[in-house]
Amino acid sequence: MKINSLMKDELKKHFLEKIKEKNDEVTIVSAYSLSKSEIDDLKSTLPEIKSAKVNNEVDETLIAGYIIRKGSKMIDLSLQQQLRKLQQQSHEAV
Amino acid sequence: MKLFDQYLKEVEKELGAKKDQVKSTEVGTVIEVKDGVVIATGLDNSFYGELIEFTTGVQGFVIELMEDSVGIVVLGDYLTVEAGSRVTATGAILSLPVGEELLGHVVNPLSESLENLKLKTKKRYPIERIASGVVYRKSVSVPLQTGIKAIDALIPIGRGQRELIIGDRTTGKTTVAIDTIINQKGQDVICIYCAIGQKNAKVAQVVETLKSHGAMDYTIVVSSSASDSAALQYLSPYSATAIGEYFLDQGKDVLVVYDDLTKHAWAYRQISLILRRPAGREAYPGDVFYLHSRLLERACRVDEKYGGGSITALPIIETLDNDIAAYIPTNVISITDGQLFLETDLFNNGIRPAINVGNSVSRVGGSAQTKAMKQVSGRLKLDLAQYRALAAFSQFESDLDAETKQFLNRGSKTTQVLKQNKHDVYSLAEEVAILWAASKGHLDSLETDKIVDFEKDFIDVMRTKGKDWMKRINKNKIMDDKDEKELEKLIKSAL
Repeated sequence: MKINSLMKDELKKHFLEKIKEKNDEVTIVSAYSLSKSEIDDLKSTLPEIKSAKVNNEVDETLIAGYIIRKGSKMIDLSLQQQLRKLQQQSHEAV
Repeated sequence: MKLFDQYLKEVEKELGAKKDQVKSTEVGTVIEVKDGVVIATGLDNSFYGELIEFTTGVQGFVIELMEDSVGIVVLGDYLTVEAGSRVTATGAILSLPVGEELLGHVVNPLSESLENLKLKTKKRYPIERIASGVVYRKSVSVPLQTGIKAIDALIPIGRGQRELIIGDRTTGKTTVAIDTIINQKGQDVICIYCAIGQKNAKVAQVVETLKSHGAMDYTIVVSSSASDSAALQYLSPYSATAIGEYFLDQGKDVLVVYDDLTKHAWAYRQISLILRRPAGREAYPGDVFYLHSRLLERACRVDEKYGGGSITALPIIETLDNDIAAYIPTNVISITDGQLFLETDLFNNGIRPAINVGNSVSRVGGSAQTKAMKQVSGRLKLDLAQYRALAAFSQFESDLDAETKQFLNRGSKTTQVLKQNKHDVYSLAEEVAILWAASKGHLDSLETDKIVDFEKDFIDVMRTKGKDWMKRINKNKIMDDKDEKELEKLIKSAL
């Protein structure tokens, strides 16, 4: 399909905006689904996500805690991660 | 039980040391796994050369940044990496442990001992570093004695020089390099032998040779074998140089042998083709010149004002059928400060080291040659040049005038004198003594096939009767009239 070059710029702008929106979205992965008040609590402690749109995903393998993702940045505050760290450190100590 | 308690205490201590803090990390997702190369999305803020960790604990580094994905080269087993798995950027640039602790060991390009030892190094150096600038450099003025007569006399190498060793397979390229390392004993030079894509058997043989000559005490072997991943082969010369730079920063003289850069170019070609970079001549990528130029530019001699020290580079290139006009050979020839050209024909004719004196040059080493060597090498060069010019021509003539005969005779004797057994390195005084004998015509009356025997006897005489003379020359590095007279007497006694 031939795309008009004027359209191309237009499309690029549109998609870049979409990507930006997507990157501004925050995903919170937790072991169980979070209530609105819990999300608000988190928002008030982390200024970076205050004004952002927040999605909630559930992943039981985290055991407890949560992972906050924004774009390619990630803050891992899950029990799974801490256990992994412990495993790594105990390996290193040997 | 006691051991277990100790272990627990260690873990507790380590856990207690760091207070948990909220830290955001850069992550991405693997979308493709190719031969040794992984393509991942995400990692929006990663940078070139950044160290990346996969969930399995395998590490890699960023080698390509594309519009919406990054190319990562895997250091280690890439088959454990799965599409869809997470990758984490560490924020650190690729670096390796360096230090005196590595001396005498065989390590891989990440400084891990191949003998499964724990080397307790204290410092880390980045694998890639910008070479020293113009202000910090000094021109080459101290010789690097190779212990090989033909090289020290005709194609001298200085500390901080880059001299290419080029030739077909089995022409003795590695031997020249190894002999040079052996000859650095007691010269206060740290040697690094970097094997790139070599057979493990060959590396083992080299290590064995170095050990038996007591050269491992001041040598580090950095090895990436033919079965290692292309990524490790690609990294190994840079790693070897980084290790060298640690010693350079201590003001020491370093010799690095890259054996060989042909295979290094192959490894880089493989990575580039997998990354779908546009292929150029012989399918090498466009930056294959930069690949070697940035490596060899790191060889330098640092001014004493800035701490001194030097890195001498001896890259090796293997040619096919003596074709020095191929792509990689011409590249490296133009980068280096000269080349030693080894030939199969000479090798098979028993002239070993098989150095083609006519095609070999050293662009900067001449200024580093010692006075004593200069005294003999000037005449030697002239004799050989005249010999070469006449030898081809005289094959068709039956009756030659006396002068021509004299040139031919001298030339063939000199050629014999430049022969040397492998791993049998000479000190400066020994080299000067035998070459002086040849250039002054003391060997003209001997038969050609007797020269080698004479040389053996003569060196024995020098090592016993001429001990004081040798000590003096090795110390002063110059010959006066008295020395020459004494040498003449010693030669006469050996004849």
